[in-house]
Amino acid sequence: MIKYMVKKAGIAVITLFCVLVFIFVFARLTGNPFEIMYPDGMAPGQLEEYNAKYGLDQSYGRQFVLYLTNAFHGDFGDSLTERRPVTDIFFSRAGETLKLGSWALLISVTLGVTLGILMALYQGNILVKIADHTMSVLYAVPGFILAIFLLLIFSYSLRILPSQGGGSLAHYVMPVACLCIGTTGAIPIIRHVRNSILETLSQDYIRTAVAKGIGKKKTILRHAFRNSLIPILTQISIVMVDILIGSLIIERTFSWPGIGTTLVSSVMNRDFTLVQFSVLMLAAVVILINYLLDILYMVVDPRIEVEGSKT
Amino acid sequence: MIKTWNELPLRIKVCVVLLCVVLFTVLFADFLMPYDPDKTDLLHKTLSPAFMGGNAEHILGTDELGRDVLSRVMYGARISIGIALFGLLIGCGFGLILGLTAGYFGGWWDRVALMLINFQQSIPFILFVLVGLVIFGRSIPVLIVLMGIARWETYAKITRGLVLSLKKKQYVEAAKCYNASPLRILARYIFPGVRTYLIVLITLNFPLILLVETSLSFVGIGVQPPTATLGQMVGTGKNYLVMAPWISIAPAIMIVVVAYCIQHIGEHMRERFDVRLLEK
Repeated sequence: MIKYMVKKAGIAVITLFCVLVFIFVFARLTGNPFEIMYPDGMAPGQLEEYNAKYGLDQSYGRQFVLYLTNAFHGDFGDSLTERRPVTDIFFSRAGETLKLGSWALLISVTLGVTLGILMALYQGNILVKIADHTMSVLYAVPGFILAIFLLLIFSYSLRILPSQGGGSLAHYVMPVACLCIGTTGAIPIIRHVRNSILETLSQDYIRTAVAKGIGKKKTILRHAFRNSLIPILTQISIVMVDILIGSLIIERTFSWPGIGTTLVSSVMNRDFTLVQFSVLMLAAVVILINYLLDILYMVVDPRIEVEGSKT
Repeated sequence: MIKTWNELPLRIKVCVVLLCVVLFTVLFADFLMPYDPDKTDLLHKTLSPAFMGGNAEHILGTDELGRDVLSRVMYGARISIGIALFGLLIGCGFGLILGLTAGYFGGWWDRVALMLINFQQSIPFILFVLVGLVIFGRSIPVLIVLMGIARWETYAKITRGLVLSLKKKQYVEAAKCYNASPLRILARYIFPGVRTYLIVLITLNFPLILLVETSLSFVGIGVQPPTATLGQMVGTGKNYLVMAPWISIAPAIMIVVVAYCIQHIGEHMRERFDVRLLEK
C-alpha cells in the first residue's frame, strides 16, 4: 500500500515538474517575453534592466537553473501589472474561489447522486423522462450562457439577486447555480450514476439478491450503488476539475473576487508572471485531486493495488 | 442513404436539419447577410428585433453600436465554428499520427507517446491555452492552434489501442509478407479500422471545443473585437442586458443550438456504431 502511494506521488511530482519545464520552454520559444509584452516598445534601458533582473541575459542553461532555484524558494517574481509578489496575489484570492468551488461541488455531488439513484429506480416514469430531456438540453448550455439567462431573470427582471461581487449568501446563488446545472456539475454525475447503476443491475449477483427477496430499493442501495462507486468517484473527480476550470469563466461573469477574475484579467494584460504562477498552482491542485483519487480507488477496491491499474 | 435517413429517430433528424441550416448560413454568410456585420450606425443603435416591436429592417435588432445582430450572428458563427473545426482537425491529425506510429512501431516511441498522453490527461488543456494566449498573443491563428491542443490525447489513446489489436490481424500479416511498407500498411489496412472511431470522437469533441472557444471569447480573452464571434457578442451584450437583451441572447441561442445538435448526433453515432471504447 505504501509502495503504491509513493509510486503515485512520484508520478504526480514528475508531472508537475513537466508543467514547470513546459512553461519555461514555451516562454523562451518566442524570444524575449518582454518585447512581446510591450509591443509598443519600452523606455531606453528598460529592456536591459528587465533582462538583468529576470536573468534573461544569461544562457538558457543558467536561466533554467535560476528559474528552478527561485521556484523551489517560493519566489515566482512580481506581477507585471500589480508590482506585488504573485504568490501574495494568488493566495489572497484563493479563498474565495475555494468557497465558491466547494459549494458548487457539494451541491453537484448531492444533487447528482440522489437524482441519479432516483432516476435509475423509477426508470420509465414520466417525470424521469421529462427530467431526462431537460437534462440533455441543459447539458449543451455552457455556464456563461446560463449566467446570462439567470442575470436577466433574477437580477434585472425580478431584482432579487445581486448581479456582481461576492460576500453575502445571496451572492453565491447564481455563480453556484451556473457551475452546478450546465455542462459542468450535477448533470454528468446524474448520467453517470444512473448508467452505472443500471449496468450493475443487469449483473448476476443483483438478480440473486432480488431473488433472495430483499426488494429492489434495498438492492440498489446496498449492492448496485456500492459496486458502482469506482466509476462514480472518477466522474466526481472529473466534475471537480471541471468546476475549478469553469469557475475561471463564471467568476469573471459575476465579478467574483477570486482567482478566475484575476487570471482572466492577467491574461488580458499579458501579465506573464501572474499567469505562470496561477496556472502552475491550478495544475498542482488538479494533480493533487487525481492523486487523492488514486488513493481512494485503493480504499474502495483493494484489488487495485494488486493489479496496479485503475479500471 | 434514404433508408438510413428513415431509420434515424426524429430527434436526430431535427438535429441534422438544424445543423445543415446553420452550416448553409455559415458557408454562404457573405450572400445571406443583410448588412455588413462591422458597419456601425449610431443613429439606429439598440433597435428591438422585429418580433419585439421593432421594424422588419433588422430582424434581430441592432446592437449598442447600431450593427445588425442577425448579420453578426451569421458572421460570428462562421468564425466560432471555423476555429473549432480547424482546431479539431489539428488535434485529430496530431493524435492520429502519434497513435498510429506508437501502436504500430512500439518500443521507446510507444513509451514516449504513452507518457505524453498521460501527461495531457492529468492537466486540463485550458491551462496550456491560457499560457499560450499570454505568450503568443490573442489572434485567430493562435486560437486555432491552441484549440488543436484540446483533446488530442483522446484520439491518440483510441488510435493506439486499436492499432495494437489491428496489427495482429491476418490481413496485416499478409501485407507484411508481401513486403508492404509500414506507411502503406498503416494507411491502407489499419487506418480504415480506426476511421469510424475517429469520426465519432470528432463529433463528440466538437461541442466541447466550441464551448471552450466561446467561453474564452465571452470573457474577452479569445478573438479580439471588432471581429464578431458568438462568445464575444454574448460578452459585450451582457453590459446591455437591461436595455437590449437580444444582443447577447441571439448569439447565445445559436451556440446552444449548434452544441446541442452536434452533441446529440455524436451520441447517436456512438450508440449506433456501438463504440464502447469511447465512453469516459
